[in-house]
Amino acid sequence: MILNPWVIAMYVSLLGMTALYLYAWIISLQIVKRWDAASMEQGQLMLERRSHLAAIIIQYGFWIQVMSLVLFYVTLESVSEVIPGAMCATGSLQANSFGFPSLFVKIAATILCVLWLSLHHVDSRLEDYRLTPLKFRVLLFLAPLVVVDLAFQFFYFMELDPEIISSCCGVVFEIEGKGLGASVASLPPYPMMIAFYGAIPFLLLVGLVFAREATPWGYYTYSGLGVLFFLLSILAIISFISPYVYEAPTLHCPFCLMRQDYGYIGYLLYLLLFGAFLLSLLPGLLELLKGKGLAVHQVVRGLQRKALNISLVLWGLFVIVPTLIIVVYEMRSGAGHLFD
Amino acid sequence: MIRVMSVSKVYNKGEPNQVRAVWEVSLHVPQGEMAVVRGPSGSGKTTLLTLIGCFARPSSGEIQVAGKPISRLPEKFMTLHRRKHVGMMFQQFNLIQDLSVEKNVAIPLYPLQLSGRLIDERVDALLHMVRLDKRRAFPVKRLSGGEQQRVAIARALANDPEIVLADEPTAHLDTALSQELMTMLQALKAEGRTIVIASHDPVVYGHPSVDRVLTMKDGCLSEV
Repeated sequence: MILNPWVIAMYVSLLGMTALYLYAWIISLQIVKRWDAASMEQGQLMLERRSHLAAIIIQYGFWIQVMSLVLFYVTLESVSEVIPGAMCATGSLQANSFGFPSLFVKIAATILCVLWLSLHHVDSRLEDYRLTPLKFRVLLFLAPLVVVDLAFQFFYFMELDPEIISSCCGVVFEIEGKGLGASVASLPPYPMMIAFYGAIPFLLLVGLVFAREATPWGYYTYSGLGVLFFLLSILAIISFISPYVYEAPTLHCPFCLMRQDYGYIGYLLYLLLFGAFLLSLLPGLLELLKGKGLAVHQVVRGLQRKALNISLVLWGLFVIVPTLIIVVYEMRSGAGHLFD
Repeated sequence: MIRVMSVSKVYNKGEPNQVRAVWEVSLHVPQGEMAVVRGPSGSGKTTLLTLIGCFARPSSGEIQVAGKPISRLPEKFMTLHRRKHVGMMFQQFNLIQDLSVEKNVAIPLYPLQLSGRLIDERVDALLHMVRLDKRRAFPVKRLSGGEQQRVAIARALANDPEIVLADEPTAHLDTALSQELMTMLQALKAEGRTIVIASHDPVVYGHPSVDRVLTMKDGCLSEV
């Protein structure tokens, strides 16, 4: 086990967050079991008030979750200094079998939290609590995910052994190496660039033309393309964006981008990418709620438009950032292509 | 304007200290009418006003204001409804004693996100209406009972409500000031506002501007 101030901070933040989420989970259970929208009894009024409390807990929990995601990365960087073979967060994550699952559970919990908050945003604008039971059924799944997150983190740091040698990012994302990371790093950069820069106009076109007509299939298509473009973007970051940032064709680590050496550019890239991805999911997911009445329809319609517009801007910005990096590199090197 | 349909409010239901504050009350007050609910202390007058004013929810029945049901609104929307449609004068005034007259009157305007200039203009007009222009900067605690009542009226009208509810508005006033208050309420009625007053003061329910007098006893309502 490795303990340093960052690890202790991780535990404290996660324990606090888990306690809050468990309380919200208990409230959810009460609401799912006893909610009766037609009732005017005191018990129902208490449930309504608790539903507000649970929503506030999740709102604050979301920000703690985002901070804990950043804190997790910083902690991984700090422990990489004592794990033999690890040079960055990738090496720390590789150090035992709980590393990457822990990161993925954390990201999944944050994404689900954003979706829950969107559902809450719609529900809090309705005068009849129409979506409250659904909202709290969803929360029943979110809270356990945070507990799993805590458990994974706990076992991850417990199992960290400074005697066991890990791999550095150069090995994990080695061209023609073994494993998923290496397979992605081995993707041919120029075809990937063509796929990436070919897909973005298509996505923006669907968003600007098709989805703006506010048809259900327009929204579903846009959200589906958002998922595909998100996955494509992750591949693009590993295959060609990160080598341009490092100015080295063999370095593909998606984590070192967040280091000071590279101007913390990774934070900006991931913020734009996840923001664009989550907001492009919303139009399609919110479309599923429209069947729940005219009032829901009206609230959802406004939110869909807003999410669509902001996601389009974020996708645009996300593409501009690596493009500028590539252009600046090409200008500085006199069009000496990195991968040639 | 206000339609109360078989409304009951029971506190501590099913417990030994259960109180049936309002029981199966039905009432219709058209727009621009002034109605007085009279009855002894503890008869449920104040509870009925709080239900109409969306300060509390009934245990059963329905209340509609301008055709819109308000008895099942979530608390957030109850607040919005009050902020937009209701002006309430409380029996104890419920003014913030350490704040100035103008601040007390301006309080309902702050959540409306109006500019400072608009708030000042509105406060000026209200203080002029209740003749408290010269007391503008005075802390409320330095005012007499009658002046405090007028501050309470100005505050109740700050959001330009369609419905004005007054709970025992003359409880702390002498006969002359009570008459003066009724004249003010008469003027509000003339502007088309709907007014419901809870009072057992003959100066109030005997005033010529009152359209209807209802009597409340043990939570039940009957027309006089």
